[in-house]
Amino acid sequence: MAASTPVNLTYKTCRKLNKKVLRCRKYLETSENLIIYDNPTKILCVQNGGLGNSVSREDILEIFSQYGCVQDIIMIPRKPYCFVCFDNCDSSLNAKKKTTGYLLREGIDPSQNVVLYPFFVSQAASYVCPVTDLPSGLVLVKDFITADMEHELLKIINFDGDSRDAGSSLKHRQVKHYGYEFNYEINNVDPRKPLKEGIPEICHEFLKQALDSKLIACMPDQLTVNQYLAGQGIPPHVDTPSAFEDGIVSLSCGSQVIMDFRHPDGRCISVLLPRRSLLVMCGESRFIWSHGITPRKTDIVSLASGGLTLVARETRTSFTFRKLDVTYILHESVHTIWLTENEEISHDLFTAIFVLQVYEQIGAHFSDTRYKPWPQIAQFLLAQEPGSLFMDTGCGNGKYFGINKNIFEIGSDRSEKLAAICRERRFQVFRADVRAIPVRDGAVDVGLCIAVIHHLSTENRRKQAVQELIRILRPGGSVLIYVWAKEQEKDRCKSKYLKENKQPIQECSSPQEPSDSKQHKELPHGDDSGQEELSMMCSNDAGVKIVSHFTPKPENNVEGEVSVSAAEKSKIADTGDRGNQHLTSVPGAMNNRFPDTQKTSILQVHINRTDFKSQDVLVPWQLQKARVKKGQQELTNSTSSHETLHRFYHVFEEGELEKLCAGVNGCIIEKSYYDQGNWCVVLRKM
Amino acid sequence: MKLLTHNILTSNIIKGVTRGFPLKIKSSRLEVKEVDFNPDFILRILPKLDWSALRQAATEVGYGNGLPEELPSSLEGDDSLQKTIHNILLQVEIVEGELECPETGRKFPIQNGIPNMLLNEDEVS
Repeated sequence: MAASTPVNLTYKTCRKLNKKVLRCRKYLETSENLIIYDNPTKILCVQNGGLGNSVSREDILEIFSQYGCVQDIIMIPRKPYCFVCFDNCDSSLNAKKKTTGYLLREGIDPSQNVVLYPFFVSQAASYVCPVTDLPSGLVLVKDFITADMEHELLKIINFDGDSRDAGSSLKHRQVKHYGYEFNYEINNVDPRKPLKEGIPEICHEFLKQALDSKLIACMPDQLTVNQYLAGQGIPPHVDTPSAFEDGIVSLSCGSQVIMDFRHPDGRCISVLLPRRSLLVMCGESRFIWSHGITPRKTDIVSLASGGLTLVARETRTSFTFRKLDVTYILHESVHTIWLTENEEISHDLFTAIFVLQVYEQIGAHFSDTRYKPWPQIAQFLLAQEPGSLFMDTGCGNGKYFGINKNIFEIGSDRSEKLAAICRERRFQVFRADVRAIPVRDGAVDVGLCIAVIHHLSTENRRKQAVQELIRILRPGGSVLIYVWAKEQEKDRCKSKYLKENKQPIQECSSPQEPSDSKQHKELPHGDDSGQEELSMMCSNDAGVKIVSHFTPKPENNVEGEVSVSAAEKSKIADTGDRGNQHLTSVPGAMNNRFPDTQKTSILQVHINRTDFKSQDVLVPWQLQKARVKKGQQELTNSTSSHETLHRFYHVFEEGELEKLCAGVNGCIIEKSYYDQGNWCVVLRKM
Repeated sequence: MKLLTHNILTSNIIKGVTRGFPLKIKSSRLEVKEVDFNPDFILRILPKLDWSALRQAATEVGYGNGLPEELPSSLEGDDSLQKTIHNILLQVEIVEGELECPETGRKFPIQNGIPNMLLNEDEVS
């Protein structure tokens, strides 16, 4: 390593160096919001010593350990600087003196030299230093339990004891479950298989306390205990949105730790979880922000005096309490479509369906960085003229926004929650129905409508939707429409799907597709926004397993005519309230005839992992238990705790989408194709 | 809701409403967020918009100053007007307020920047 510490500086080089130092300082202060101190602190922020300059931790350690005891080095992805923490100010002062202007690496030309400029920092960057500004929905209660209680809890868990009792060891930590087992392969729990051991009794008191003080809305029924040794961590993740209720509670015992929360827009907030504190994640902090623990042996902790100090991590045992979200299962799978002759009611139901996937969408989208939009849809968007006005009807969480930066994007969705996510992501969005798009005639250049129309229950409604999509287009403008296909077994996929009982429909996805988030459970049945459905289809067996996981027992799975009826109410409309009480409920098992049978249509129940027998199908889903609302009357479901619920789909046959569009005046079908289990058309307005 | 978005919205989905445009804006909270100025985009998008509706909307939310009654045939070179238009189209956002159908007076709330244009079944045309 070419290293030349500036020793005898000439006046000129000295001035040059000072200039550089000032420039670096200004960058750190203004662009990175760091506060630089003139007086020595124990922490140095070393500009140009970061991962962004391809400098490694080892490089930094080698240089800085010459000047004292380096307690920690914090490297931040992509940043041009790092933090070096000494155990005393003399060492850091000495290191700063000796390394200012240190040539770490020579580049091809002098402008590419890597030269270090260390500064004293009073506060490390917000993402490595705990802040008081918490993500929305996050609550931290310090000293939630006493030291005695902490001791008792750790004794009960006893990771070190008898190996049979010691829980299982994951790659980076030990783990133990109570109530229900969390299966890491599928990232979900099976509500039908409660564990023998429920949440230990000792926890009940403080949980009740949390309930009473309204920290949480419902009593948890699942506990996961994780033990992290100093230096162990957990990658950023969002707890499976579909598996658990809002309101996840984490109790830290044995050691403090810094937990990093990351927002999809790039914000990162590090929160110090003190020993014996209780963390409650609700709302955004639970569904949108990911959380994780960077493996380190120390944490930077703010002192009451305003300074910072390093605290060594010890063995930390976290108790994560969660409540299985049976209501979500209701949503998610929906559900209970009641197709009655009363159009209004059934239409409301579709509204409900549209919102049901919300949480999965959130989780899937935000937690899965590997997600890629469907190539053919992305291609369509990229082919549009700069300055085009683009309207995505049924835009979901805005998955297809941001692909073409040169067009103006507007989205609409029925769902309040999905619209709010779009807004959160700074997209233009309004709430509207695909059959009544509040956009003036001919106002948009290009349209998109992905996996929306197949949720409409009658041909007339589906036609209305296409008419609306055409109406808002300018003459010459085009719209791309995707609907789910009845023919899931096209080409090579058929045999595999039908032969392999465990494989879901989506196996017909092309194998090169990235495996998508494990949170895409129940993939084959897609979802309202369809975007997830599409990604589901390119999903691998991660989703598959879950499907079989929740597939109804054979006796429920018998194909048959089932009449369903429903009154449904979107719970999403009740922002922030995820209580069961807002859900509709089905009195009695689905296989029973509903009281007002005469009014209901008869739909077939689709059997998972088989070909569609008919086009209008109810896709079954196992519901554990839920209270449901019929009309305004709330009923408590006292029947079997395992109900099968259904959701409605009209899957399109080959040629049907084209036929539907051909019946709409003023447009031509420019292109139609099959894409991973979907029928697709590009329509051009005449 | 940016005023560009407003410019395409209509209430003609309501039964009996013929034009439903432009929707009146009542803004109780407004934000101005900086967006990169892209004159090419402005020049391309302007011809697609309804100028008088944009002008009216901008006036309703207090940003009508400096907007000519008629859009000049060419904006090329008129940097100042381009920037004014850039501001009202892309930077001004109505966060809380409501839209009102010019024909029926039906109100559509805007909350958290999101207009709720959903109708009851019996209102749909």
